[in-house]
Amino acid sequence: MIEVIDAGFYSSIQDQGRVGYRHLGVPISGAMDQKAFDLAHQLLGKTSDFSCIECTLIGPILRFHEPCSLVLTGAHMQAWVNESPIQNNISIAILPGDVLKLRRATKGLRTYIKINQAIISPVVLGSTSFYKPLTQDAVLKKGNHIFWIKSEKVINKSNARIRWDDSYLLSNDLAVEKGPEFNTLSIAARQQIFQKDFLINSQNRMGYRISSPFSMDAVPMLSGAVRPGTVQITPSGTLLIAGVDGQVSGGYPRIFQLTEEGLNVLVQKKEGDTISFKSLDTLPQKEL
Amino acid sequence: MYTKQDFNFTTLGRTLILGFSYQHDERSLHFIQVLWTALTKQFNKQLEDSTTTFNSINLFFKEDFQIEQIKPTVLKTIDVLDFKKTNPTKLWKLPVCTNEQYTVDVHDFFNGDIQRINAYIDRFLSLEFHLVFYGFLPGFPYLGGLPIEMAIPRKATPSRITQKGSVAIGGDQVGIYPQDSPGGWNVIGNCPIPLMDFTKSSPNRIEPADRIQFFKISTAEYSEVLAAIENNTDHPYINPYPHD
Repeated sequence: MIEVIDAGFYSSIQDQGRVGYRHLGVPISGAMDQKAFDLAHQLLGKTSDFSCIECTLIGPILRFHEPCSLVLTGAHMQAWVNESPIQNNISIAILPGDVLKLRRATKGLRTYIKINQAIISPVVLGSTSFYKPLTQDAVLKKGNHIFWIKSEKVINKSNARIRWDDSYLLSNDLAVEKGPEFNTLSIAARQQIFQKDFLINSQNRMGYRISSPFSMDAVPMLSGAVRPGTVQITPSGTLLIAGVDGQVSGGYPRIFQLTEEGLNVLVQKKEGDTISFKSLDTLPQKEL
Repeated sequence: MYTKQDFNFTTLGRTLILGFSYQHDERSLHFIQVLWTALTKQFNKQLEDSTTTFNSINLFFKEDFQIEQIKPTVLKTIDVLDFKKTNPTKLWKLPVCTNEQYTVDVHDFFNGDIQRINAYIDRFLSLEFHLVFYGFLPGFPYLGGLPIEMAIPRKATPSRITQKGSVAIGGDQVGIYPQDSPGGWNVIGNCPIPLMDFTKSSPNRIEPADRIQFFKISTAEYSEVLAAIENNTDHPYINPYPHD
Protein backbone atom coordinates (compact mmCIF):
# COMPACT_ATOMS: atom_id res chain seq x y z
CA MET A 1 0.00 0.00 0.00
CA ILE A 2 1.11 3.55 -0.72
CA GLU A 3 0.18 6.33 1.67
CA VAL A 4 0.02 9.81 0.18
CA ILE A 5 1.79 12.09 2.67
CA ASP A 6 1.83 15.09 0.33
CA ALA A 7 0.09 14.96 -3.05
CA GLY A 8 2.37 17.47 -4.77
CA PHE A 9 1.05 20.01 -7.26
CA TYR A 10 -1.13 17.85 -9.51
CA SER A 11 -0.75 14.08 -9.25
CA SER A 12 -3.20 11.57 -10.66
CA ILE A 13 -3.49 7.91 -11.56
CA GLN A 14 -3.31 7.34 -15.32
CA ASP A 15 -3.22 4.24 -17.49
CA GLN A 16 -3.59 3.51 -21.22
CA GLY A 17 -6.76 5.64 -21.29
CA ARG A 18 -10.43 5.19 -22.27
CA VAL A 19 -10.01 3.89 -25.77
CA GLY A 20 -13.14 3.68 -27.91
CA TYR A 21 -15.54 6.16 -26.28
CA ARG A 22 -14.89 9.33 -28.24
CA HIS A 23 -18.22 8.90 -30.03
CA LEU A 24 -19.90 9.56 -26.65
CA GLY A 25 -17.84 12.71 -26.13
CA VAL A 26 -15.45 10.98 -23.74
CA PRO A 27 -11.81 12.07 -24.07
CA ILE A 28 -9.13 9.40 -24.11
CA SER A 29 -7.29 10.60 -20.96
CA GLY A 30 -4.32 8.45 -19.84
CA ALA A 31 -0.70 9.59 -19.66
CA MET A 32 0.09 12.95 -21.29
CA ASP A 33 3.64 11.81 -22.16
CA GLN A 34 3.18 8.50 -23.97
CA LYS A 35 6.92 8.10 -24.50
CA ALA A 36 7.70 8.28 -20.78
CA PHE A 37 4.68 6.08 -20.02
CA ASP A 38 5.86 3.37 -22.45
CA LEU A 39 9.43 3.58 -21.17
CA ALA A 40 8.30 3.00 -17.58
CA HIS A 41 6.62 -0.23 -18.61
CA GLN A 42 9.60 -1.38 -20.63
CA LEU A 43 12.01 -0.71 -17.79
CA LEU A 44 9.99 -2.63 -15.22
CA GLY A 45 9.24 -5.57 -17.46
CA LYS A 46 5.81 -6.84 -18.35
CA THR A 47 3.03 -6.11 -15.88
CA SER A 48 -0.63 -6.86 -16.45
CA ASP A 49 -1.55 -3.40 -15.28
CA PHE A 50 -0.79 -0.03 -16.84
CA SER A 51 -1.77 2.28 -13.98
CA CYS A 52 0.91 4.68 -12.86
CA ILE A 53 1.07 8.03 -11.09
CA GLU A 54 1.48 11.09 -13.28
CA CYS A 55 3.10 13.97 -11.35
CA THR A 56 3.18 17.57 -12.53
CA LEU A 57 5.72 20.31 -11.66
CA ILE A 58 6.06 19.30 -7.99
CA GLY A 59 5.86 15.61 -7.20
CA PRO A 60 4.28 13.88 -4.21
CA ILE A 61 5.70 12.41 -1.01
CA LEU A 62 4.68 8.77 -0.70
CA ARG A 63 5.24 6.20 2.06
CA PHE A 64 5.36 2.57 0.96
CA HIS A 65 4.00 0.04 3.44
CA GLU A 66 4.97 -3.02 1.41
CA PRO A 67 7.97 -3.91 -0.76
CA CYS A 68 7.98 -3.30 -4.51
CA SER A 69 10.17 -1.98 -7.30
CA LEU A 70 9.59 1.34 -8.93
CA VAL A 71 10.90 3.47 -11.72
CA LEU A 72 10.62 7.17 -12.51
CA THR A 73 10.40 8.31 -16.13
CA GLY A 74 9.63 11.54 -17.96
CA ALA A 75 10.55 14.87 -16.35
CA HIS A 76 13.49 14.91 -13.98
CA MET A 77 12.35 15.99 -10.52
CA GLN A 78 14.34 16.36 -7.36
CA ALA A 79 13.87 12.83 -6.00
CA TRP A 80 14.87 10.87 -2.94
CA VAL A 81 14.12 7.52 -1.34
CA ASN A 82 14.44 8.30 2.36
CA GLU A 83 17.46 10.63 2.24
CA SER A 84 19.22 9.16 -0.79
CA PRO A 85 18.86 10.95 -4.11
CA ILE A 86 17.60 8.73 -6.93
CA GLN A 87 17.62 8.99 -10.69
CA ASN A 88 15.13 8.45 -13.48
CA ASN A 89 14.97 5.38 -15.69
CA ILE A 90 16.50 2.97 -13.17
CA SER A 91 14.54 0.32 -11.32
CA ILE A 92 14.68 0.94 -7.57
CA ALA A 93 13.91 -1.59 -4.82
CA ILE A 94 11.54 -0.23 -2.17
CA LEU A 95 11.26 -1.67 1.34
CA PRO A 96 8.36 -1.32 3.77
CA GLY A 97 8.49 2.09 5.43
CA ASP A 98 10.51 3.72 2.64
CA VAL A 99 9.50 7.26 1.73
CA LEU A 100 9.69 8.41 -1.87
CA LYS A 101 9.95 12.15 -2.04
CA LEU A 102 9.58 14.02 -5.32
CA ARG A 103 9.82 17.80 -5.41
CA ARG A 104 10.35 20.38 -8.11
CA ALA A 105 10.83 19.40 -11.75
CA THR A 106 14.29 20.44 -12.91
CA LYS A 107 13.95 19.25 -16.53
CA GLY A 108 10.51 18.83 -18.10
CA LEU A 109 7.12 19.00 -16.37
CA ARG A 110 5.53 15.55 -16.00
CA THR A 111 7.07 12.57 -14.21
CA TYR A 112 5.69 9.04 -14.09
CA ILE A 113 5.96 6.76 -11.07
CA LYS A 114 5.42 3.15 -12.07
CA ILE A 115 5.55 0.24 -9.62
CA ASN A 116 5.87 -3.41 -10.55
CA GLN A 117 2.49 -4.23 -9.00
CA ALA A 118 -1.08 -3.88 -10.22
CA ILE A 119 -2.58 -0.76 -8.64
CA ILE A 120 -6.21 -1.03 -7.53
CA SER A 121 -8.25 1.97 -8.60
CA PRO A 122 -11.87 2.31 -9.75
CA VAL A 123 -12.29 1.38 -13.41
CA VAL A 124 -14.64 3.54 -15.51
CA LEU A 125 -15.14 2.57 -19.17
CA GLY A 126 -12.17 0.24 -19.04
CA SER A 127 -9.69 2.68 -17.52
CA THR A 128 -8.41 3.80 -14.13
CA SER A 129 -7.37 7.20 -15.50
CA PHE A 130 -8.55 10.05 -13.30
CA TYR A 131 -10.92 12.32 -15.21
CA LYS A 132 -13.60 14.20 -13.35
CA PRO A 133 -16.61 13.85 -13.38
CA LEU A 134 -16.34 10.35 -14.88
CA THR A 135 -14.15 9.44 -11.94
CA GLN A 136 -14.78 10.75 -8.46
CA ASP A 137 -11.41 12.45 -8.17
CA ALA A 138 -9.28 14.55 -10.49
CA VAL A 139 -6.13 14.33 -8.35
CA LEU A 140 -4.61 12.34 -5.53
CA LYS A 141 -5.05 13.89 -2.10
CA LYS A 142 -3.10 13.86 1.12
CA GLY A 143 -4.14 10.82 3.15
CA ASN A 144 -5.18 8.70 0.12
CA HIS A 145 -4.18 5.05 0.31
CA ILE A 146 -3.27 3.36 -2.96
CA PHE A 147 -3.56 -0.40 -2.74
CA TRP A 148 -2.20 -3.00 -5.10
CA ILE A 149 -2.89 -6.63 -5.83
CA LYS A 150 -0.30 -8.69 -4.00
CA SER A 151 1.16 -11.02 -6.54
CA GLU A 152 3.26 -13.98 -5.44
CA LYS A 153 5.52 -13.68 -8.38
CA VAL A 154 7.09 -10.26 -8.33
CA ILE A 155 8.90 -9.68 -11.56
CA ASN A 156 11.91 -7.73 -10.50
CA LYS A 157 13.56 -7.31 -13.78
CA SER A 158 15.73 -4.29 -14.13
CA ASN A 159 16.08 -4.28 -17.84
CA ALA A 160 19.48 -2.79 -18.54
CA ARG A 161 19.25 -3.45 -22.25
CA ILE A 162 16.51 -0.87 -22.82
CA ARG A 163 17.95 2.20 -24.46
CA TRP A 164 16.33 5.48 -23.62
CA ASP A 165 16.81 9.02 -24.79
CA ASP A 166 15.59 11.94 -22.68
CA SER A 167 16.84 14.64 -25.05
CA TYR A 168 13.23 15.47 -25.99
CA LEU A 169 12.84 17.05 -22.54
CA LEU A 170 15.13 19.86 -23.67
CA SER A 171 13.68 20.32 -27.16
CA ASN A 172 11.44 23.27 -28.00
CA ASP A 173 10.59 22.07 -31.49
CA LEU A 174 7.15 20.66 -32.12
CA ALA A 175 6.96 18.53 -35.24
CA VAL A 176 3.66 19.14 -37.00
CA GLU A 177 1.63 18.11 -40.01
CA LYS A 178 -0.67 20.62 -41.61
CA GLY A 179 -4.28 20.33 -40.45
CA PRO A 180 -7.45 20.37 -42.58
CA GLU A 181 -7.94 24.14 -42.14
CA PHE A 182 -4.27 25.23 -42.40
CA ASN A 183 -5.16 27.45 -45.36
CA THR A 184 -7.46 29.63 -43.25
CA LEU A 185 -4.21 31.29 -42.11
CA SER A 186 -3.22 34.29 -44.22
CA ILE A 187 -0.50 33.61 -46.79
CA ALA A 188 1.99 35.62 -44.71
CA ALA A 189 1.06 33.74 -41.54
CA ARG A 190 1.58 30.37 -43.26
CA GLN A 191 5.27 31.30 -43.60
CA GLN A 192 5.75 33.17 -40.33
CA ILE A 193 4.22 30.50 -38.14
CA PHE A 194 7.24 28.28 -38.86
CA GLN A 195 9.73 31.06 -38.11
CA LYS A 196 8.55 32.45 -34.78
CA ASP A 197 8.86 31.29 -31.18
CA PHE A 198 5.65 31.18 -29.17
CA LEU A 199 5.09 31.59 -25.44
CA ILE A 200 2.98 29.10 -23.50
CA ASN A 201 0.34 31.06 -21.57
CA SER A 202 -1.21 28.23 -19.61
CA GLN A 203 -1.55 24.48 -19.69
CA ASN A 204 -3.33 21.58 -18.07
CA ARG A 205 -4.31 18.07 -19.09
CA MET A 206 -7.11 19.47 -21.29
CA GLY A 207 -4.67 21.42 -23.37
CA TYR A 208 -2.20 24.23 -23.93
CA ARG A 209 -2.99 27.89 -24.68
CA ILE A 210 -0.40 29.79 -26.64
CA SER A 211 -0.77 33.36 -27.91
CA SER A 212 0.14 34.28 -31.47
CA PRO A 213 -0.02 37.51 -33.48
CA PHE A 214 -2.14 35.79 -36.14
CA SER A 215 -5.57 37.21 -35.37
CA MET A 216 -8.03 36.46 -38.12
CA ASP A 217 -11.62 36.82 -39.16
CA ALA A 218 -13.91 34.35 -37.45
CA VAL A 219 -14.37 31.38 -39.75
CA PRO A 220 -17.89 30.04 -39.38
CA MET A 221 -17.52 26.28 -39.22
CA LEU A 222 -19.23 23.30 -37.69
CA SER A 223 -17.42 21.45 -34.91
CA GLY A 224 -14.94 18.92 -36.25
CA ALA A 225 -12.91 16.08 -34.76
CA VAL A 226 -10.09 17.01 -32.39
CA ARG A 227 -7.49 14.64 -30.96
CA PRO A 228 -4.55 15.13 -28.60
CA GLY A 229 -2.06 17.35 -30.42
CA THR A 230 -4.61 19.09 -32.66
CA VAL A 231 -3.78 22.83 -32.91
CA GLN A 232 -6.77 25.14 -33.35
CA ILE A 233 -6.60 28.91 -33.79
CA THR A 234 -9.23 31.27 -32.33
CA PRO A 235 -10.18 34.56 -34.02
CA SER A 236 -8.01 36.48 -31.51
CA GLY A 237 -5.00 34.36 -32.49
CA THR A 238 -4.82 32.08 -29.46
CA LEU A 239 -3.49 28.65 -30.37
CA LEU A 240 -5.28 25.86 -28.53
CA ILE A 241 -3.45 22.53 -28.50
CA ALA A 242 -5.61 19.67 -27.24
CA GLY A 243 -4.29 17.46 -24.44
CA VAL A 244 -5.46 13.95 -23.58
CA ASP A 245 -8.37 15.26 -21.48
CA GLY A 246 -9.33 17.75 -24.20
CA GLN A 247 -12.69 17.97 -25.91
CA VAL A 248 -13.21 15.44 -28.69
CA SER A 249 -14.65 18.08 -31.01
CA GLY A 250 -13.88 21.72 -31.62
CA GLY A 251 -15.19 24.55 -33.75
CA TYR A 252 -12.03 26.54 -34.58
CA PRO A 253 -9.84 26.00 -37.65
CA ARG A 254 -7.46 23.07 -37.15
CA ILE A 255 -4.19 24.37 -38.55
CA PHE A 256 -1.82 21.66 -37.33
CA GLN A 257 -1.64 18.18 -35.92
CA LEU A 258 1.39 17.51 -33.73
CA THR A 259 3.17 14.25 -34.44
CA GLU A 260 3.42 11.85 -31.50
CA GLU A 261 7.01 12.96 -31.01
CA GLY A 262 5.90 16.61 -31.13
CA LEU A 263 3.17 15.97 -28.57
CA ASN A 264 5.65 14.32 -26.19
CA VAL A 265 7.86 17.41 -26.44
CA LEU A 266 4.92 19.75 -25.79
CA VAL A 267 3.52 18.01 -22.70
CA GLN A 268 6.86 18.41 -20.94
CA LYS A 269 6.66 22.20 -21.39
CA LYS A 270 5.29 24.50 -18.70
CA GLU A 271 3.74 27.95 -18.55
CA GLY A 272 6.31 30.54 -19.66
CA ASP A 273 8.31 28.14 -21.84
CA THR A 274 8.60 28.86 -25.55
CA ILE A 275 8.01 26.48 -28.45
CA SER A 276 8.26 26.60 -32.22
CA PHE A 277 6.53 24.62 -34.94
CA LYS A 278 8.55 22.54 -37.36
CA SER A 279 6.99 21.20 -40.51
CA LEU A 280 7.58 17.48 -40.93
CA ASP A 281 8.86 18.15 -44.44
CA THR A 282 11.70 20.38 -43.23
CA LEU A 283 12.83 18.27 -40.26
CA PRO A 284 15.93 16.15 -40.79
CA GLN A 285 14.96 12.58 -41.58
CA LYS A 286 15.22 10.21 -38.66
CA GLU A 287 17.94 7.62 -38.96
CA LEU A 288 16.45 4.23 -39.50
CA MET B 1 -28.71 12.19 -49.78
CA TYR B 2 -25.16 11.48 -50.77
CA THR B 3 -23.14 9.81 -53.49
CA LYS B 4 -19.41 9.17 -53.40
CA GLN B 5 -18.72 12.46 -55.21
CA ASP B 6 -20.01 14.26 -52.11
CA PHE B 7 -17.14 13.10 -49.88
CA ASN B 8 -13.66 14.52 -49.43
CA PHE B 9 -10.63 13.10 -47.63
CA THR B 10 -8.34 14.85 -45.15
CA THR B 11 -6.24 13.65 -42.24
CA LEU B 12 -5.41 14.69 -38.71
CA GLY B 13 -2.43 12.52 -37.80
CA ARG B 14 -3.69 8.95 -37.72
CA THR B 15 -7.29 10.12 -38.09
CA LEU B 16 -8.94 9.93 -41.50
CA ILE B 17 -11.60 12.62 -41.90
CA LEU B 18 -14.29 11.80 -44.43
CA GLY B 19 -15.96 15.16 -45.01
CA PHE B 20 -19.35 15.94 -46.50
CA SER B 21 -21.85 18.79 -46.36
CA TYR B 22 -24.36 18.61 -43.53
CA GLN B 23 -27.92 17.95 -44.64
CA HIS B 24 -30.50 17.95 -41.93
CA ASP B 25 -33.07 15.52 -43.13
CA GLU B 26 -33.71 12.15 -41.64
CA ARG B 27 -32.68 10.19 -44.72
CA SER B 28 -29.29 11.92 -44.94
CA LEU B 29 -28.61 11.49 -41.23
CA HIS B 30 -29.54 7.87 -41.51
CA PHE B 31 -27.32 7.38 -44.55
CA ILE B 32 -24.33 8.73 -42.61
CA GLN B 33 -25.08 6.41 -39.69
CA VAL B 34 -25.26 3.39 -41.97
CA LEU B 35 -22.04 4.42 -43.73
CA TRP B 36 -20.30 5.01 -40.37
CA THR B 37 -21.31 1.53 -39.20
CA ALA B 38 -20.17 -0.04 -42.47
CA LEU B 39 -16.77 1.71 -42.37
CA THR B 40 -16.23 0.80 -38.73
CA LYS B 41 -16.92 -2.81 -39.65
CA GLN B 42 -14.77 -2.61 -42.77
CA PHE B 43 -11.67 -1.31 -40.95
CA ASN B 44 -12.54 -2.95 -37.65
CA LYS B 45 -9.14 -4.33 -36.62
CA GLN B 46 -7.21 -1.29 -37.82
CA LEU B 47 -9.27 1.19 -35.80
CA GLU B 48 -8.84 2.46 -32.28
CA ASP B 49 -12.04 4.53 -32.42
CA SER B 50 -14.43 6.30 -34.76
CA THR B 51 -16.73 9.29 -34.46
CA THR B 52 -19.11 11.43 -36.46
CA THR B 53 -19.84 15.15 -36.42
CA PHE B 54 -22.32 17.24 -38.43
CA ASN B 55 -20.15 17.01 -41.52
CA SER B 56 -17.58 14.27 -41.03
CA ILE B 57 -16.98 10.62 -40.27
CA ASN B 58 -13.67 10.29 -38.43
CA LEU B 59 -11.73 7.04 -38.41
CA PHE B 60 -9.01 6.85 -35.74
CA PHE B 61 -6.46 4.35 -37.03
CA LYS B 62 -4.06 2.55 -34.70
CA GLU B 63 -1.12 2.84 -37.09
CA ASP B 64 0.09 5.31 -39.70
CA PHE B 65 -1.69 4.89 -43.01
CA GLN B 66 -1.50 6.15 -46.58
CA ILE B 67 -4.65 7.97 -47.62
CA GLU B 68 -4.36 6.54 -51.15
CA GLN B 69 -4.56 3.01 -49.77
CA ILE B 70 -7.68 3.70 -47.69
CA LYS B 71 -9.58 5.82 -50.21
CA PRO B 72 -10.58 3.10 -52.72
CA THR B 73 -11.98 0.91 -49.92
CA VAL B 74 -14.02 3.82 -48.54
CA LEU B 75 -15.40 4.70 -51.99
CA LYS B 76 -16.30 1.07 -52.66
CA THR B 77 -18.07 0.87 -49.29
CA ILE B 78 -20.15 3.91 -50.27
CA ASP B 79 -20.92 2.35 -53.67
CA VAL B 80 -22.22 -0.91 -52.33
CA LEU B 81 -23.86 0.49 -49.21
CA ASP B 82 -27.08 -1.36 -48.52
CA PHE B 83 -29.02 1.64 -47.34
CA LYS B 84 -32.57 0.34 -47.65
CA LYS B 85 -32.30 -2.44 -45.09
CA THR B 86 -32.35 -0.17 -42.05
CA ASN B 87 -34.56 0.02 -39.02
CA PRO B 88 -36.65 3.11 -38.42
CA THR B 89 -35.11 5.47 -35.88
CA LYS B 90 -36.48 5.70 -32.37
CA LEU B 91 -38.29 8.62 -30.79
CA TRP B 92 -37.37 9.64 -27.24
CA LYS B 93 -39.52 11.98 -25.16
CA LEU B 94 -37.51 13.90 -22.60
CA PRO B 95 -38.90 15.97 -19.70
CA VAL B 96 -37.91 19.61 -19.54
CA CYS B 97 -38.78 22.26 -16.98
CA THR B 98 -39.17 25.69 -18.55
CA ASN B 99 -39.86 27.53 -15.33
CA GLU B 100 -38.47 31.05 -15.39
CA GLN B 101 -35.35 30.17 -13.40
CA TYR B 102 -34.24 27.83 -16.23
CA THR B 103 -35.03 30.17 -19.10
CA VAL B 104 -33.09 33.29 -18.11
CA ASP B 105 -31.10 33.38 -21.36
CA VAL B 106 -34.21 33.22 -23.54
CA HIS B 107 -35.80 35.93 -21.36
CA ASP B 108 -32.74 38.09 -21.97
CA PHE B 109 -32.80 37.41 -25.69
CA PHE B 110 -36.42 38.58 -25.95
CA ASN B 111 -35.86 41.44 -23.48
CA GLY B 112 -38.39 39.96 -21.07
CA ASP B 113 -41.29 40.07 -23.58
CA ILE B 114 -43.39 37.31 -21.98
CA GLN B 115 -45.63 36.81 -24.99
CA ARG B 116 -42.73 36.22 -27.37
CA ILE B 117 -40.88 34.07 -24.81
CA ASN B 118 -43.90 31.81 -24.35
CA ALA B 119 -44.53 31.59 -28.08
CA TYR B 120 -40.87 30.61 -28.61
CA ILE B 121 -40.95 27.96 -25.87
CA ASP B 122 -44.26 26.53 -27.14
CA ARG B 123 -42.87 26.22 -30.63
CA PHE B 124 -39.64 24.67 -29.28
CA LEU B 125 -41.69 22.03 -27.45
CA SER B 126 -43.61 21.18 -30.62
CA LEU B 127 -40.42 20.36 -32.55
CA GLU B 128 -38.84 17.01 -33.22
CA PHE B 129 -35.03 17.02 -33.11
CA HIS B 130 -32.46 14.51 -34.25
CA LEU B 131 -29.40 13.46 -32.31
CA VAL B 132 -26.55 14.19 -34.71
CA PHE B 133 -23.58 13.22 -32.50
CA TYR B 134 -22.09 13.44 -29.01
CA GLY B 135 -19.17 15.79 -28.39
CA PHE B 136 -17.87 18.75 -26.34
CA LEU B 137 -18.37 17.00 -22.97
CA PRO B 138 -18.91 13.31 -22.12
CA GLY B 139 -22.56 12.68 -23.01
CA PHE B 140 -23.25 16.11 -24.56
CA PRO B 141 -25.70 15.54 -27.44
CA TYR B 142 -25.71 17.85 -30.45
CA LEU B 143 -29.30 18.03 -31.70
CA GLY B 144 -30.26 19.26 -35.13
CA GLY B 145 -33.68 20.39 -36.28
CA LEU B 146 -34.11 23.90 -34.92
CA PRO B 147 -35.56 25.99 -37.77
CA ILE B 148 -33.10 28.68 -38.82
CA GLU B 149 -35.55 31.47 -37.94
CA MET B 150 -35.45 30.20 -34.34
CA ALA B 151 -31.66 30.35 -34.12
CA ILE B 152 -30.22 32.33 -31.18
CA PRO B 153 -26.56 33.31 -31.53
CA ARG B 154 -24.02 32.07 -28.98
CA LYS B 155 -23.35 34.52 -26.14
CA ALA B 156 -20.48 36.92 -26.83
CA THR B 157 -19.05 36.09 -23.41
CA PRO B 158 -19.67 32.51 -22.23
CA SER B 159 -21.34 31.98 -18.85
CA ARG B 160 -18.99 30.81 -16.15
CA ILE B 161 -21.37 28.00 -15.23
CA THR B 162 -24.10 26.51 -17.35
CA GLN B 163 -26.01 24.19 -15.02
CA LYS B 164 -26.12 20.42 -15.42
CA GLY B 165 -29.24 19.40 -17.37
CA SER B 166 -29.48 22.72 -19.22
CA VAL B 167 -31.18 22.43 -22.59
CA ALA B 168 -29.48 25.16 -24.58
CA ILE B 169 -29.41 26.77 -28.00
CA GLY B 170 -26.23 27.79 -29.83
CA GLY B 171 -27.08 29.18 -33.27
CA ASP B 172 -29.38 26.59 -34.78
CA GLN B 173 -27.94 23.76 -32.69
CA VAL B 174 -29.46 22.43 -29.49
CA GLY B 175 -27.56 20.64 -26.72
CA ILE B 176 -28.07 19.24 -23.23
CA TYR B 177 -25.31 19.87 -20.65
CA PRO B 178 -24.47 16.57 -18.88
CA GLN B 179 -22.55 18.39 -16.15
CA ASP B 180 -21.97 21.92 -14.86
CA SER B 181 -19.65 23.59 -17.33
CA PRO B 182 -18.69 26.96 -18.72
CA GLY B 183 -20.91 27.45 -21.75
CA GLY B 184 -21.82 29.99 -24.38
CA TRP B 185 -25.23 28.64 -25.35
CA ASN B 186 -28.63 30.07 -24.40
CA VAL B 187 -30.52 28.01 -21.83
CA ILE B 188 -34.19 27.39 -22.55
CA GLY B 189 -34.97 24.77 -19.89
CA ASN B 190 -33.62 21.99 -17.71
CA CYS B 191 -33.88 18.27 -18.31
CA PRO B 192 -33.42 16.56 -14.92
CA ILE B 193 -32.63 13.06 -16.16
CA PRO B 194 -29.14 11.92 -17.11
CA LEU B 195 -28.88 10.58 -20.66
CA MET B 196 -25.86 8.41 -19.96
CA ASP B 197 -24.72 6.04 -17.25
CA PHE B 198 -20.95 5.88 -17.37
CA THR B 199 -20.86 3.01 -14.88
CA LYS B 200 -22.17 0.82 -17.74
CA SER B 201 -20.04 -0.40 -20.62
CA SER B 202 -22.75 0.83 -23.03
CA PRO B 203 -23.51 4.17 -21.36
CA ASN B 204 -25.97 5.56 -23.92
CA ARG B 205 -29.44 4.53 -25.07
CA ILE B 206 -30.08 7.35 -27.52
CA GLU B 207 -28.19 6.77 -30.75
CA PRO B 208 -27.27 9.20 -33.52
CA ALA B 209 -30.18 9.73 -35.97
CA ASP B 210 -32.70 8.94 -33.20
CA ARG B 211 -35.44 11.55 -32.73
CA ILE B 212 -35.95 13.62 -29.59
CA GLN B 213 -38.94 15.59 -28.40
CA PHE B 214 -39.18 17.58 -25.19
CA PHE B 215 -42.30 17.72 -23.01
CA LYS B 216 -42.95 20.30 -20.35
CA ILE B 217 -42.95 19.34 -16.66
CA SER B 218 -43.83 21.49 -13.67
CA THR B 219 -41.34 22.68 -11.08
CA ALA B 220 -42.89 20.20 -8.62
CA GLU B 221 -42.42 17.31 -11.03
CA TYR B 222 -38.87 18.49 -11.70
CA SER B 223 -38.10 18.35 -7.97
CA GLU B 224 -39.71 14.90 -7.69
CA VAL B 225 -37.50 13.55 -10.46
CA LEU B 226 -34.34 15.00 -8.91
CA ALA B 227 -35.30 13.57 -5.49
CA ALA B 228 -35.98 10.15 -7.04
CA ILE B 229 -32.56 10.17 -8.71
CA GLU B 230 -30.90 11.28 -5.48
CA ASN B 231 -32.62 8.53 -3.45
CA ASN B 232 -32.27 5.92 -6.15
CA THR B 233 -36.03 5.36 -6.30
CA ASP B 234 -38.21 4.99 -9.36
CA HIS B 235 -40.03 7.68 -11.26
CA PRO B 236 -41.82 7.29 -14.60
CA TYR B 237 -39.73 10.07 -16.20
CA ILE B 238 -36.32 8.70 -15.25
CA ASN B 239 -35.99 5.91 -17.76
CA PRO B 240 -37.50 7.13 -20.99
CA TYR B 241 -38.51 4.36 -23.33
CA PRO B 242 -38.21 4.62 -27.09
CA HIS B 243 -41.26 5.15 -29.27
CA ASP B 244 -41.24 3.99 -32.87
